[in-house]
This record gives sequence, C-alpha cells and structure tokens, in this order.
Amino acid sequence: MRFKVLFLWSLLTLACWATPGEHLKPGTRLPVIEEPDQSGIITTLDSLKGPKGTLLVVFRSADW
Amino acid sequence: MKIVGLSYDSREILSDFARRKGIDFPLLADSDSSSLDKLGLVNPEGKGMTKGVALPGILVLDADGVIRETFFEDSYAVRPSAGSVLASLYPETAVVPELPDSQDYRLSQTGSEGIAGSSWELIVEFPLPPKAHLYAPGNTSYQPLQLTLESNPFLEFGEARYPESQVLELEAIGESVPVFSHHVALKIPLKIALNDQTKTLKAPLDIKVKGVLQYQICTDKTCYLPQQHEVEWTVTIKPLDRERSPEGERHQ
Repeated sequence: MRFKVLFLWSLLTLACWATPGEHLKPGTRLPVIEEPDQSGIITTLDSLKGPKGTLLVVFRSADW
Repeated sequence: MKIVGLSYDSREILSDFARRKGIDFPLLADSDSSSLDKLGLVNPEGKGMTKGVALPGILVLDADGVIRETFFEDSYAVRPSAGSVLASLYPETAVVPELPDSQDYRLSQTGSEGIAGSSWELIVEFPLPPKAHLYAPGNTSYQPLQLTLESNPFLEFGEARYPESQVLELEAIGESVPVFSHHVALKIPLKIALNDQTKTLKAPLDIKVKGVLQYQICTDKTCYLPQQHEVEWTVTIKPLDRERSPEGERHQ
C-alpha cells in the first residue's frame, strides 16, 4: 500500500513539473477549434490556415 | 503563414485590444475556455478573474493542421520574442550583418526589445575561411572561444551554446585538440529579468550588454595570436502594457 501511495505521489509530482504544452506533440493534429474572432465572426482554425500553415498564439489576456 | 491568437477574453475585450494595438489578424474569443480545455491549456491555478486563463505558448501548424513545432516555457511569465521564434522557424531569414573590415566575427541577436520575461539569443558568428579553425573549450594549449558577459540587474544570461566541435590531430607535436571550423555560431540565451526594476518601468530603457570575447584562430599553416575584444549589444526593455479594457468589459 505504501509503495502504491508513493508511486501515485511520484506521478502527481512529475505531472506538476511538466512544462505546459508538452502533451501537444509535433506530428499530431489539433482538435477542432471554433470561436468568434474580435469581429464576432465564428471562425475555425481550419478556415484560417495559410498555404504554409498557421502560427497559433495562445495568450493569457488582452485585458490585464 | 497565418497568425491567429486565442485567449479566454470576450469578443469585446479582443476587439478593443485589436483596435488599440492595430492588430489585423484574427483573435479568437474563447470566453468559456472550452477550446483551451480541448487543448489541455487551461491554467489549473486560475481563480477569480483568472479562472479559465490559458497556459500561454505558441503552436506552429502545417497546412494540414498538424503540429510541427511548439514554444512553451515552464513559467507563464517567460516567453520567446517574436524574433527568436522567427529565427527558430526560418533561420534563413535572420538578418546577418556584414562582416566588418578586418574583423573575424560579427555580432547579432534574434531579438532586440521586449518586456520583463522576454527571451532571445545573442549571437557571435565566425565565418571561417577554408582550412581555418577556432579552438573549442576543453583545451589548455590555445585560447578557446569564450564570451564573458558583464552581469546586469536587468538581464539574465543562460549557458552559452557552442556548435559541435571536432578533434584536430596535430601530429607534428603529438597533440589532439577540440576545434570549430566552417561557420561557427556561439549563442547565448538572454532573458529580461522578472524583477521590480523591469516590471515598474515607465518608459523604454536601452541597455548595453557588454562582454569580452576571447578566441584564437589557426589555419593549417599559421597560428595567429590569441585575441581579446570588447563586444556590445543594445537591448531595449519596454514597460509592461498595463492598459485594461473599458470598464464593463473587463474580467471580474
């Protein structure tokens, strides 16, 4: 039992130390994202992609 | 390549921000953080007005929507400069200054301005002629390539990144020494420190990054004297953008 708890604690600790975005591996496809843009037009990432691809900038806030 | 932003802000907040900053690329308003959640990029520590806020980063997708590269940092406050992202994606587009007359090296950087937490690289390049080499760290007989930067309260420097060295066998004197050849680029990660001085700036501040560069170049026939030069880059630290959205549209 003690080993199980230690093992779970180790996993939890490793998860906390992981760099954000590490799970988004190169070679994988993003889930479908569909949101309104600043003009209110409902937009998907797919509809925005350029011939050379897309640079998706995920940011904290434009307010604070 | 298209640029798209994504945050947990409302459409109104993003509209006001885009107008103020003159942004004409799409900013997607994920006001319920559902898309961020799909991406696994909701900060679990967000609460109050930061509930649902993103773990920031950059994803580079190809034309088929497949992830090609990602830029994420351990701390949300640290982020690569636009210049360093571009230099990483398109190294061929980097602005390479002309080699000054009678100088063995040239200085450049992948960014030049940013806010507290911004990061990029200082670069020293040696476009060596054929049959010439520079001595790499690890030898004691010759002056190895070395850059010593003056400490600065506004900046933090990472460990120098050297190219891969080769071992040169000097049969005449029975020595083996590590050397660099061809196009040698020494890169030093630089970050604008996250401290009270950088966070409370009211106006842009120009900083001189000063250092001493030491090296020695030899060819297959001639060994030149060890060199020591003072080098300098200019970095501009910009104040944090503290302007909020109009009242009534702000996060509560």
